[in-house]
Amino acid sequence: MENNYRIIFRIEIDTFFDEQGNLSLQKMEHLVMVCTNMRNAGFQVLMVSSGAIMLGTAKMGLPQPPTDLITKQAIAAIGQTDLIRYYQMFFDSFDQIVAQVLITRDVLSIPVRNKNARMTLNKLLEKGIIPIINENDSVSTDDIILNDNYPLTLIVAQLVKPHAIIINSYKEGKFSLIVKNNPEIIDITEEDLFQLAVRIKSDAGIATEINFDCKTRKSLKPTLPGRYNSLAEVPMISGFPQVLTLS
Amino acid sequence: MVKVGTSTLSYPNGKLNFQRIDKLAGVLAGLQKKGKKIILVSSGAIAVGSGKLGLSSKPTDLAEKQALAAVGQADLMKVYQKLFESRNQLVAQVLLTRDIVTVSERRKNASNTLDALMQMDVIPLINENDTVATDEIVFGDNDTLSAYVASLVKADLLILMSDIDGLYSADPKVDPEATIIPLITELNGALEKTARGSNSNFGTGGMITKISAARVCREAGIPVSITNGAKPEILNEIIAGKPTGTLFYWTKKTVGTKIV
Repeated sequence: MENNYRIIFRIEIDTFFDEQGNLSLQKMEHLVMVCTNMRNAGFQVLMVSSGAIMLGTAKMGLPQPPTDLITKQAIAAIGQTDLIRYYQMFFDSFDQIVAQVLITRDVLSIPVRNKNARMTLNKLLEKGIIPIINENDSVSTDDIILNDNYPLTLIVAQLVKPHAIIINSYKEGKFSLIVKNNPEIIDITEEDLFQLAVRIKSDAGIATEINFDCKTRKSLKPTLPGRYNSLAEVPMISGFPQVLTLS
Repeated sequence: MVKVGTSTLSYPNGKLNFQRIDKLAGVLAGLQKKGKKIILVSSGAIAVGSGKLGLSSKPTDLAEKQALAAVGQADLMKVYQKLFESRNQLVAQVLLTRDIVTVSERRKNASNTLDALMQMDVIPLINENDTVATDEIVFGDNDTLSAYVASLVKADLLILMSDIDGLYSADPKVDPEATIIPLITELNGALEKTARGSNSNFGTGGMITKISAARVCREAGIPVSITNGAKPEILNEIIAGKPTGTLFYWTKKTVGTKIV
C-alpha cells in the first residue's frame, strides 16, 4: 500500500473561520478527512498548522488577537491545547493516530536538534502516524512576528524532504499544490486530489500525474516580491520556492 | 509549583489513572481559585503514547521514545484540558528544552510566557519538548526541569510528587529502621550518598534527581517538598504548612553559598 510519497499539508486556520469569526468544526473535520484519505491511499502525510493564536483569542473571549508579543505567546500556549484537541478528536473519528510536534527554527542550525527532529518525524511517518507541526511559540517569536507559517513549512520540508506541499486555500474545496522542483503553484480541486491519491500509487509519480493528467489544473498568479518577475526566478529551498504569497 | 511523575499519573501497565488525575486537577484548580498561582510540570507523555499504540514494554530506542512522546503529549493534554475545564480552569501547554537555562533569549521568552499566563489566571502545564530535545541538551528528568522553571518564575515552593513518601535515612527496602527525614536545611555529601543508595526504579528520576532539583532551588532560595502523589489532596496540607514527606527549607545564610 505504501507508495513512499511524502506530502505536507500546510494549513492556515483562517480557512476554518466563517465571516462572523466563528470556528467551523465541520470545515476542520472535512480537511481532516481529506488528509486521512491521502494517508489511507498510502502517502506519508504531515500537517503544518497554524491556529493557536486564533483559537486562544476565541477562548479568552478577546475581540481580536492581541498585538503585544508577550500576550500573543501566552495566548498561543492556551490555543495550542485546543488546536491539538480538535485535530485529535477528528482524526480519532477516522481512526488515524496523530502526534504533536512543536519545533523552533534552530532545528536547522543546531545539528543535534536537526538530527532529533528528523529522527522523530521519520519514525512517526514510518508508523503511519500524522505529525501535526507548529512553531513552539512559547519560547520562540519568529512565526508570531511573521504571522505566516510558510517559512515553518519550508523548515519541515528541509527535514523530511517531501514530494509535494498542499495548501488549503481560502475557498472551499480548493487546494494549491506545489510539486518538488517545479516553480509553479497549481490550483487543484478536492476531486482532483482524490483522483491523484488513487492513481499515484500505480506508476510515474506526482509530477507526471500533475503535468499530464489534471485537466482542471491552472496556475495561480502568485504575488511576488518586487525583485522577481516570475516564480521560476525565486530561489528554491529543498525544491520548493522560498516565498509564497498567493494573490 | 507542582511536578508529578509518570508513576503518579499512570498504572504500571502505562494506562492513565484517570481518577487520580481528576483529583489532582480538582485540588490544583481549587488552590488557583483561592489565589495561589499554580504551575504544573507533568511527565507521562511516553507512557501515554505507549498505551495508545498498544506497546507492552517501555521503548529503549531514542527515536521511538520521541515519536511516542509526540503521540502521548497530545493525548495527555487532552485529558488535562478536559479535567481542568470541567472546573472552569483554563490551562495552557508550554514545552521547554534545556536551552531556557543556557540561551538568554529562550529564557526571556519562556519567562514572559509563563508570567503572562499566570497573570491571566491560566495554569501552565509544562513538559520537556521531547521531540527536539537530545542527549546533549536534555534535562533528562522533569525534577530538574521543574527546579529550573521554579527559579525562572521565582516560585515560593516546588512540590515534587512521585511514588515515594519522602527522603529516607537509608534505603527502606534494605533497612527496616529507615525513617523519613522530615526537614533538611542544607545539602551535604552524606545526604547525596543516602539518596544514591535509595535510588528507586520508577520513571527516569529517583532520589538523586530530586537532590539535583533541590540543589538548583537552593541557589534560588526556593523550598522543595518531596511527597507521595498517590493522594493529591496532600497538596492542601503541604501548602497549609503541615509537615508531610521531606521539606528542604533553606535558611537565608545558606542560600548561594557553596555546598560542602
